[in-house]
Amino acid sequence: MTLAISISQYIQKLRDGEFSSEEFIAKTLERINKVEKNLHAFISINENAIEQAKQIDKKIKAKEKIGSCFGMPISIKDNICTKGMKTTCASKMLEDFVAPYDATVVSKLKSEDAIIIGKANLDEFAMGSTTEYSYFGPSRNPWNTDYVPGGSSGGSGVSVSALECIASLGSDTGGSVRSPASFCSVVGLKPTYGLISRYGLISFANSIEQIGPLARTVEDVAFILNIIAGRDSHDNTTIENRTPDYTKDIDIGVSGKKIGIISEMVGEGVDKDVQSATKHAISTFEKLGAECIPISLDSAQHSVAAYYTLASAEASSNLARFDNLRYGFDFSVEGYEYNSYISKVRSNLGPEVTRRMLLGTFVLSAGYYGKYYQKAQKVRSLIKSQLVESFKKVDLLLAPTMPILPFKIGEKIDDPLKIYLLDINTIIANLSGIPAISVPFAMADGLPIGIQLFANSLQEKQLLQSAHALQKTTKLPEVPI
Amino acid sequence: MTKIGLEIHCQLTKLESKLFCSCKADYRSFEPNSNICPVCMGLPGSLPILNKKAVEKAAMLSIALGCKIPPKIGFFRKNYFYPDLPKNFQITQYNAYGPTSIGYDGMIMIEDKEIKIRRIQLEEDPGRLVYSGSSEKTQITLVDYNRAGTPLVEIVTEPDFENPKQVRIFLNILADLVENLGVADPYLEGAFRVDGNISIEKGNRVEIKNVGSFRDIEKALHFEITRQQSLAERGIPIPAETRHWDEARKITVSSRSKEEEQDYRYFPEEDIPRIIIEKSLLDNLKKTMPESIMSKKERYINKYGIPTQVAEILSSDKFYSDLFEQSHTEKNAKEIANLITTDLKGFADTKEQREQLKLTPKHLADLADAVLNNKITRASGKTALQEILKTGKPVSEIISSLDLGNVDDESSLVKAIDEVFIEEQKAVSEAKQNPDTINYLVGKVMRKTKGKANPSLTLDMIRKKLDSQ
Amino acid sequence: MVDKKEIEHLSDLIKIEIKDPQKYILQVEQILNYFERLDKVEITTEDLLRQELTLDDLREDKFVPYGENLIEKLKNTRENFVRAPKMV
Ligand SMILES: [Zn+2]
Repeated sequence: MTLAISISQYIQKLRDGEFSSEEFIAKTLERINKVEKNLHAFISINENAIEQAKQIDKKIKAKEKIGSCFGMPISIKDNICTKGMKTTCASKMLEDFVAPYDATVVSKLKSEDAIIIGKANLDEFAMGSTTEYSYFGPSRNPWNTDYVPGGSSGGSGVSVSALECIASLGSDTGGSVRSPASFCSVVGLKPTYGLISRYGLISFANSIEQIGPLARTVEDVAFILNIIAGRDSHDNTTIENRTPDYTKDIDIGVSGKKIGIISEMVGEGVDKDVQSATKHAISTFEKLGAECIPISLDSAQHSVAAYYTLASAEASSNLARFDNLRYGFDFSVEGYEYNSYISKVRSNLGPEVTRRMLLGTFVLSAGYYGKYYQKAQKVRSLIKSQLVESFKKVDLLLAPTMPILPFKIGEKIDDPLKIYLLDINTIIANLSGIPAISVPFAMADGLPIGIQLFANSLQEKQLLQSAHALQKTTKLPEVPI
Repeated sequence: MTKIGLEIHCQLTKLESKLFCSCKADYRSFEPNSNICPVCMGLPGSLPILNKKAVEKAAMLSIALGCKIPPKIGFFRKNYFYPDLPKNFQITQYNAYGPTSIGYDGMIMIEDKEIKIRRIQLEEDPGRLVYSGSSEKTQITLVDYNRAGTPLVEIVTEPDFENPKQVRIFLNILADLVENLGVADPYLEGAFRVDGNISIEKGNRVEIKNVGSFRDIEKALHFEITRQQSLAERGIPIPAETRHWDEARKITVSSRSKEEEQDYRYFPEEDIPRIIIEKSLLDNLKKTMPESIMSKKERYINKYGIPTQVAEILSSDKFYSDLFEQSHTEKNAKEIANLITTDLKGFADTKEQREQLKLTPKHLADLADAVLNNKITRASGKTALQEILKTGKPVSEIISSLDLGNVDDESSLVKAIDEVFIEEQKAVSEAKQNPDTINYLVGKVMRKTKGKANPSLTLDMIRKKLDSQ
Repeated sequence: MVDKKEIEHLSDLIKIEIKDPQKYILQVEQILNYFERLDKVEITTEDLLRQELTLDDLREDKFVPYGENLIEKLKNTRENFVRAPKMV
């Protein structure tokens, strides 16, 4: 039995009796056991997974109604609430936190008989691009364990890439799904803002972030999107999903499509290997019948500054609730005065989170709001309006997901601004709310390179069709671990 | 010149659920922390889900206070740490970057004085701190979050008041108004809380907080004026500060907290999209809104000829005006208004009295008709009303069981009048000289008949008897 | 522009005890300097991003009790109250 299969293959093989859910889960756990000490994709593993698989097998045997996931193992980023399992955000502040409810995406997956195999590692509170800022230690890139897997959904990317699950849910605030997808050679989607409920996603930058699926194929991502998309009465920012099936017609191709290549994201500052992979992707699309034209998006040069201003501001408020009073780690309130207690317990937030709390507080504080926060909002609007203009000319936009190849763990950790600038190609989707996807496309020095496509709001179907067309042309090596 | 402004926190007590979750809006009957859910506890991953009716009720109040209502409303976060605040920010509204609160620029008149309403904002109430042990040496604070998320409106006035008396009149009008609109019961404990700010000539602005009952605000303001004036007289500058009302000692005390230095870092609450307030909604609200106190009062005066003072009392109290609306006809309206404002008032003023009230609108209608049809006198009407309050029995039964029916057969009156003429000879001869004193004799007859004598018949008969003598 | 006092002021507002403000001064200043570029952008575009709802999209005002006894699942409780440190 191989774990390196797609969702449709899993369902087919299970139906054909090639294996049961229990057997597949057992094999997956075996795999996790074997690779985790090198990879550290998970913060916790579901101890009831086998039992849950048995129940699903029983249902299948009895020909009862069965959900579309048939007991397949899915990992969930550990900032998405799961009832009865810890949700830590990779932070000391939540090391013992067990949410009393499932996030909407989790209950949707469970009701389709998916098995939550474990909670995936991340940068603390999803703040980071490398997964090095996890309180529980970094995750490692399965293509070379000395290298970072990207982030902040690093555990999600690693677990999918290293066959520790079939698919994963991450969250993408500034590229946090697409960055590990690119660095780990898997597919990662950041959907349109509002398409997926954020209920149960522990907020970092609530006006910017979305939950997104990671899987090994575009088709699998479309399959998961079918399950999790749509309006939710627990989230006032969700919008109606008007696409009944994202997998239908996924192989329609790109013939006649117009693809804009974002000039600012393919030239200066982009690694040579990434540049040539991008050129190759462009010519591939042209061979498939698409027309590629350069598109300038000059507002993108301000995107990093705008993004880190807004995200830090929102984070400083969203993380204020972690005062250790109603939930948190063991630390008695006795003998402390309120302010000193709160400040003391919150000093357990890691350095990157602390940095952003300081930045976010600064940009919102009296006298600076207009200069930073309001200006950043305006830049955000400008980016959105330039994108709206672009999509009048082209159907999709293209850029490499990450400007550079994966790098060594610890290499950039002392230069936060340098790490922030890695998000230069992904952030525009978050600031404007449009969907974007990263597709594994090439390798250089044994390290993966992902190509990113953007579409207009709610154009996920078109985005997935084009990404699928691109992925079908690739023949990438198997993961070496 | 003294300038006073107010900030009134008024809970929307007529709502079923909290502002952002489905827990109960009226938290008062719950055991500690048993009216809470992940949303109002601000648990990680929870999101606020705005209550539709809260927006409608706040819009209604804004209309009633003459406010403008923006085409779109939005919410903001007010960031500060406090144990009663589960998210360590409060979701509220804020107009510093353009009007997005439910109401702004309103005005109401009090005795020919314009009081401008700066804004009305919808926001969530925090939880409540309960200190354990004696306050000075309290080693720990206990928190009850049942109240957290309760919907309230904050009404902010311009500093248009010149003295505490105007403040009292305004607050009475406002309390009547929110009650009449059906948005709140201002007399529920903690439902209507008033903070004030006050400055005297050339002095700094002083905030007064923590005034428990809205009746105490007048006392607090008086205290502040005296305190500030005595500082000014001695040439001591009045510092800009926040002072807390000490209810026990009836004085204001400077609060040592750093509240003035607070930087709340307001910014938009993006978990709640902007809400479009359509004109059709406002038109609809205006149509379905309860009649305003002012228009009620005018209707009572113009349509039924009810005296201004009576109409004022009747219209400003929703309970009494509801009773009136349910019982009156065009003919008996004035009589019912009288019964309510002179005879019933005093017996149905408190919440308890009203809850236990045995009097129905039918009682009032029957009683008024009996008086108007001369079945009983007004004096007997008062007696009958007391009996209704005690027993709740029908009016006809009370009239007969207490024998209140008018004595209007001449033979029994003749007897009473004869007796009075014998007993009051001096008054009789006086009445012959001066007909103005005749009422004294009528009164004597009334007393003799225990108030049941038909007064006009009695007067006629006495006149005749005097003439014949 | 960012000094020790500024970091202390911020850490006081956000309630995070910072033992070594020095460590943050340079980084925060460097990042804020980078943010400065925002101030130089000329923008006249309208606000395109605000999501909007109508009143009909909002929750009906209905009391639905939370099914579970939530306080039992929280920390730091005493007789159903949440314990907080003493206030000054
Ligand atoms: Zn609640």
